[in-house]
Parts: sequence; structure tokens; C-alpha cells
Amino acid sequence: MEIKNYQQYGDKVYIDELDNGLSVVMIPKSGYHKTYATFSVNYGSIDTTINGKKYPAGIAHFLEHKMFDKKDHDAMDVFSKYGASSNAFTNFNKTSYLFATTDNVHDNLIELLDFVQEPYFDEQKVEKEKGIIGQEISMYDDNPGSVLFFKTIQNMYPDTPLNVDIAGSQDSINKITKDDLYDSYNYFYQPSNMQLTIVGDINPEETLKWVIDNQNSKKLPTAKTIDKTIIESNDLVRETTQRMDVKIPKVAIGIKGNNQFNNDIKYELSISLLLQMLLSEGSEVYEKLYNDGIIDDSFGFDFDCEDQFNYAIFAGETDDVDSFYQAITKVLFGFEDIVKGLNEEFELIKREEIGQHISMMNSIEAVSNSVNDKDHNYRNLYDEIDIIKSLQLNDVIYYGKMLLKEEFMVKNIILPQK
Amino acid sequence: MNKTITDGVELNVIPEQKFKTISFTVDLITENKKENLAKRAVLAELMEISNQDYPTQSKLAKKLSSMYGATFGTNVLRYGNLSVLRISLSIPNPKFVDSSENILKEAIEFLKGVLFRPLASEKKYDENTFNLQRKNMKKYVSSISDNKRFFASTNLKELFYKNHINRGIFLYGRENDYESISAKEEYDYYKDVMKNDNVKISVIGDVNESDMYNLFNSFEFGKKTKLRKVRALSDFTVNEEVEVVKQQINSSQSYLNMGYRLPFFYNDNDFMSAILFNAVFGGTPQSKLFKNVREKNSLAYSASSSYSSINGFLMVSTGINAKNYQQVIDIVEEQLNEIIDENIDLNTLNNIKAEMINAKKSVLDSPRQNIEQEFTNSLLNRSISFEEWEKLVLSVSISDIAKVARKLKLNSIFFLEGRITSGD
Repeated sequence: MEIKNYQQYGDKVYIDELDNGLSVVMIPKSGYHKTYATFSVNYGSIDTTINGKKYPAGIAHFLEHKMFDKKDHDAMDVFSKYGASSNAFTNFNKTSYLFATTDNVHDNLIELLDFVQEPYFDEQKVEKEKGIIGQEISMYDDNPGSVLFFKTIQNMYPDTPLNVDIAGSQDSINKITKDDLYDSYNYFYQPSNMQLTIVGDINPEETLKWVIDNQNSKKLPTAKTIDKTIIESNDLVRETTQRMDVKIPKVAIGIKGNNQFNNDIKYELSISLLLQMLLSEGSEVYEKLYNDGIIDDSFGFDFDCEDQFNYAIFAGETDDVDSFYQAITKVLFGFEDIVKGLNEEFELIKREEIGQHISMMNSIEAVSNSVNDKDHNYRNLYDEIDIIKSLQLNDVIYYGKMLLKEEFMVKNIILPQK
Repeated sequence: MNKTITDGVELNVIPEQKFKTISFTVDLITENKKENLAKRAVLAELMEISNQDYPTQSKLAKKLSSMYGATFGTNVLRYGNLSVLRISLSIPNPKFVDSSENILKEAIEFLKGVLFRPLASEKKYDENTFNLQRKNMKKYVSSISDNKRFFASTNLKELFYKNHINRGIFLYGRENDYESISAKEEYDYYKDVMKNDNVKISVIGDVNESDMYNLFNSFEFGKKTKLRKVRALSDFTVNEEVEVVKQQINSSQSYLNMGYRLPFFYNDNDFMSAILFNAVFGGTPQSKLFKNVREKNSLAYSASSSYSSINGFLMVSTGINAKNYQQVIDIVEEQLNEIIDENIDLNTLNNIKAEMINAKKSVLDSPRQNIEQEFTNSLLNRSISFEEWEKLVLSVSISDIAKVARKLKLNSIFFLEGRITSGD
């Protein structure tokens, strides 16, 4: 077992890789009452192809829902019996199952491993789930914020599996069968494609032994190579407008990043700092646009950098759609002139980012969610602080030029009904 | 421990070493009054955006960055008859940052500026700043119908509390409330708040109680002449016939909310039975509504209930397909009758209790939740140890829950009916 000691913050990270390929990461937090464990699979909504065969959109999310539904019981009830709350979520490239508990850590942990590693799907249950997920999709379709976000991503990646919502569509989920679920499960849910992360008041040696004993007691398939889904997008939809039942127009700008930088942590952190320098509440630009009434408190931005893709989204509500676009694009594509020489502001933003990382250490969920997988050397928020400290304004300008290119921009507007 | 600084002004320090932050809240407490909603909402925004020390939003934001990304914000909350304007600030514990500056002292000085040095002169707020915040709030209030689920529950509450409007009206008031207020009136309102609102200050983190007392003692809050108290809503008259209001919207999903009177309050002996009744009925994923409306019948994506122990109010919220309206109401009724008939699975009840106990312990792992729990307890004048609380939870029986359920009376229904019309 490898131990990384982050002495300055009084925390340690324990890492092990089991014989069957499963990664285990443990972070003890003494004085905490809660233990939070996540069992995740590198499998998300974009992974719809297995050995050349296409599966319906939304299958990863459907599978996640069905995983809890066992032959004669609901796995959620088992966690509940042990006093834990359990949950799961699916995003573009990952599915995670988790529980949080203050008691019975051992029993909950074994249940987490068992319910995910012992699938049970039948036709009847699959059919019934279509009604529930159908409602869930309707709910997203009614939510202007969710529509704005997904539609902007679809505009950036129209020729890829990112072109469909994580939950799929009413049509696609209706096509899902029991066999589709087993095919996907058998292909992606291998221990070598999975990670168990546990944060809380735990003893790492004892906890690891529980996991090893559990894994040794099971016959799990030997590791097979998984073809990683590659998102190669050569197309984009420049601009879309749709009408929904909203009072104020909602607008978004998306910028598709170069795949060369996928999951380059220096790139990721540099872009985060840059966007904050440009458009957070402390920036001159933000203040001017805010005072001119072009943006308001609803304005926000997000930068997502994953193994398969990276993009930035800027969104807000505005009565003046044209001014919003003009102002934001002017900032983004003229960023160099704005940040050049702002060394003091840059140091301030770095300081803020470091402080926020320290604050995040309070939350065992945030600590857990920050842990990366083996392909990224289990990088976590403690490691990120050192990388942030090392960044220079020049790095930020260099990476900014790599992302902020007008030819990779899309626009998306939601207008009120006429 | 709550310590009184002066009449109506209290300080609660929670020394706790496991957190890597020090968090503060200052709560300004008064009776909720519908004529003040807009002024109070704008005041919260003004306090968040600037003051004399940091007269622009960017200067204030830069100050927060320099305090190592301090998080700062204000909001307005309601506890029954009371309105709380909450100011929150959190900084990393200075021992984790390599800085020689005293960010703890800076943080307290920052709070002082927010409270005592508003961006105002000649007895009125700075016109530009005030007008921008007034307009932004007005815009925000006009757009709450965009969030259909929230809009439906807001409407149900207004319907339910129509004779007790200060407990039910949307907390930010109406759009046109924002048209008439001036920078002068806003300043007068600020003065009134500072003079009359009761104050509760909370601190949690690796701090020393007497240090905090000395630092906050320098805040010049005067004595308060009126002490604010939470009052249970005990004089509510239930409609003889259920009042139903329907409104149509353009959306694929519909939202059905049902408002019930549940006459049990936080200071009653049966209080814990009422809490568990709500948990069994619709308050948790183990509940009857979740299992039967959502899971068994696939009638809804969401079906849940929530209970206010100050107002004796229980609300069922569902997201459904419009055509299932009557069916959903029937199933909700059916689930209630099951509880009345003591048809509750003992295992499920024990699971719910275990989850509640788990959640209660988890509160201690979050600085904010910790502060909130102690704040609510002091507001409700309640002090109960975890062990006593746990014992109370475990003592509630199926027949206790059924007894509470028999008192539940449906009073109002609000239905936001989704119709997809072709967009042009």
C-alpha cells in the first residue's frame, strides 16, 4: 500500500491496487462521524459502442438505475437498514455508486461492493423502469437551465455521443433490453476499470483487508482490454435558438477545446485561473458588464476537462442578448490584452484558489470527489495546491491561447414564448 | 454556549479543531412582514455587493480573494413568523496558509464594515448601486415561474396560508413591490433593522471563546427593546371543503402540490411522532409516497412530503403527467389510510430511524449545518442532547405514527398543469 503524506494539512492518502485490478483509495479523517465511500466505473453516457456494436443512448444511466433493483429487494433498503444513505450518478464518462454512513461501515462497504458486482436484470423490471426514466427525462426537458447546458454541449459536439443527454431520449431508452444491460455490464464493470474511494474516520489497514477478503471470495472475470471511447469532433453547430416557457432570455457560449490537452492538469488549472481573472466578480470586466445591466447574478462559467474532451461554457440571463454576446466574446478573444501585466491580480486569484482548496478539505465528499484514477496517479486536491502554486501568468496566457479560439465557439439561446 | 452581549444580541462560539476553516454567521431577526419583503431582499443584496470600505463589487471581491478565497454571502430565510437576514463568512484557518497577515482579524473587521458602514451618504443609499440591486431583484422575482417545481410549491404555500400571509407569501414579495422603493426608504429600513432586529452571531472553528467575545463586543449593536420569539401557528382554521386551484403552463410535466394541516408543533410531546409520520409518508426515499407513487406505479418522477413543525403544515409535492392527476391524488390518499390503519412495515420504520440518526450525527461534520442546528435550537428555545434525541426517535411506535396521521387534514391543492402547445 502506498501512503502519500500531506503533512502541512494533517491528512494522508492510502492507495492500493488489488490483484484483480481494482484501485482502492482511502483518506482517514479523524474526528469526523461520517464515512463516505464511492465505487465508480469508467463508463458513462458517451460509451455506447462495444466491439463496433452501437447501444441505445442513455444506457449507462439506465444501468445505474437498474443496479439497485435486485431480484427480491432494493439495494437501497439494505443500506437503509445499516443506517446509511445511498445514491448513484452517471455523467458523460463515469458511473458512481456511493453511500454515506455514521455506523456499520463494514456492512455498508460490503453491500456496496456486492450490489454493484452482482447484477440482476429481468425484462419486466427493465420495462417498468422506462416509465420512471421517461419522467426523469421530461423533467430535464422542462428545466431551462438543463436544456441550455446540454444543448450547448450538443452544439459543440454534434457528431459524437455527447450529442444526446446523459439520460438519453424517450425513444432511445424505449429500445433498451435486458441483454443490452448485461452486454454493457460485462464489458465495462470489470475490477480493473473500477475504483473504490473511502473517506472518513477509518483505519486504512483494516478497511483494505475487508475489501481484499471480499474480492477474494468472488469469482470475477479476468481483466479484458476495454476500447476507450474517443470523442473526435470535426463539426459544430454555430448557433441555435429555441423558445421555452421562460421570462428572461437565457444565453450560453461554448468553446470546444483541443483534444491534445484532455486531462492535462496544468492546462485545466491554468484555464480555471484565467477565466476567474477575466470574468469572476473581482474582475473589472465583470463589474462593468454588471453595472451596465448586461449580466446579473445568474452569470456563471464552467470549464470541464476530461480524458475524452474539454470545453468551457459561459451562461447567464439577459434582456440584451446581442450585447451579452458582444461583450463576452470581446473579453474571451481579446483576453491577452486584458490579463497582460496583471501580475498582482494573478497572485490574488492564485491565493483565492489555494484557500478554496483548503476549505474543500472540510468536506469528506469534496475530498473524495477530487481523487483521480490510476491513469492520473490518483491526483487529488492536496496535489493540486502545489500545481497551482507553481503556475505563472505566462502559463495561463499560453494555455488561454490554446483554448480561446473563435472558430471553436458556439452560441445557444433560449427565448421566451412569443 | 450562547452568551448575551446585550439585550437581544447573542454570541455562540463552537470551538472545533477538525475543520480547516473558521466560519461566521450574523443573523438579523425580526417579524416577517409582507410590506418589508422587497426592502429586506434588496438590503441583503446591498450588504453582499459593497460598502464604504469596499465601495465596488470588484473591490469587495478582491478583498475576499486576498483573505484566501473567503466565502461570503447573504440570504433571507423564514422560520414561521420570523424573518432572518443571514450574513455568512468563512475563511481558511490561518495556520494552513503561508501568510503573515492576520486574516482572522481582517475577517471580523470585514464583517463590521458590512454591518455598520453601508454605501450611503446623506441618509440614502448610493443611487446607482441601489437601483441596480432593486432592478436585479425585480427581475429575479419575475422569473421564479421558470422553475416550475419551485413555482408550484410557492403557489401552494400562498394558497394554504392565505389567512396567515406573512408565513406563506413568497419571501421576496411581488414584482411590483420593487417599483416603489427609493434609496432613501431603503436606508431608513437599514437603520430600522440595525436598531430593532435581534442579532445572533455564531462562530465555528479552531477559535477561543473569550477571544471571540472580545472581538465581537466591539460591534456597536445597541440594546434591543423587543425580543423576537418564534410562535407556533396554533390558531389555523381548516377549510370545510378542500380548495383547489389549477393553472396551465407550457411544459411536458405537471406539478401537483397538496397542503395539509398537521396540528403538531416543535414544543409538543408528539413532535417526534409527527416527524416520523412525515418520514414514513413522504419524507424519505423509504417512504410510502416514494415507493408507491414513484416506484410501484411509475406515476411520477418525484413524490415527497415535507413538514414544518412551527406552522403545523405538511406539503406533498409531485411531478406527474397531467392525465394522472386523479390517480395520483387517490394513491396519496390510499397511502395515508395505510398509515392510519397502522399498516407500516416495522423494518422500514427501523431503517428510517437509522437513517435519521445517521443524518443527525453527520450534521457535526459540516460547519454550516452545525451552526444552523444550534441556531434553530436557540430560536426554538430547545436544548436536547444527541442521546436524548436518539432515545426519543427510537421510542416512536407504529401506533404513535398512526395517531398523528389521523389528525392530518387536506386543506388546499395547487395544480400546475403542463400542456405542450406547438411553439411558433
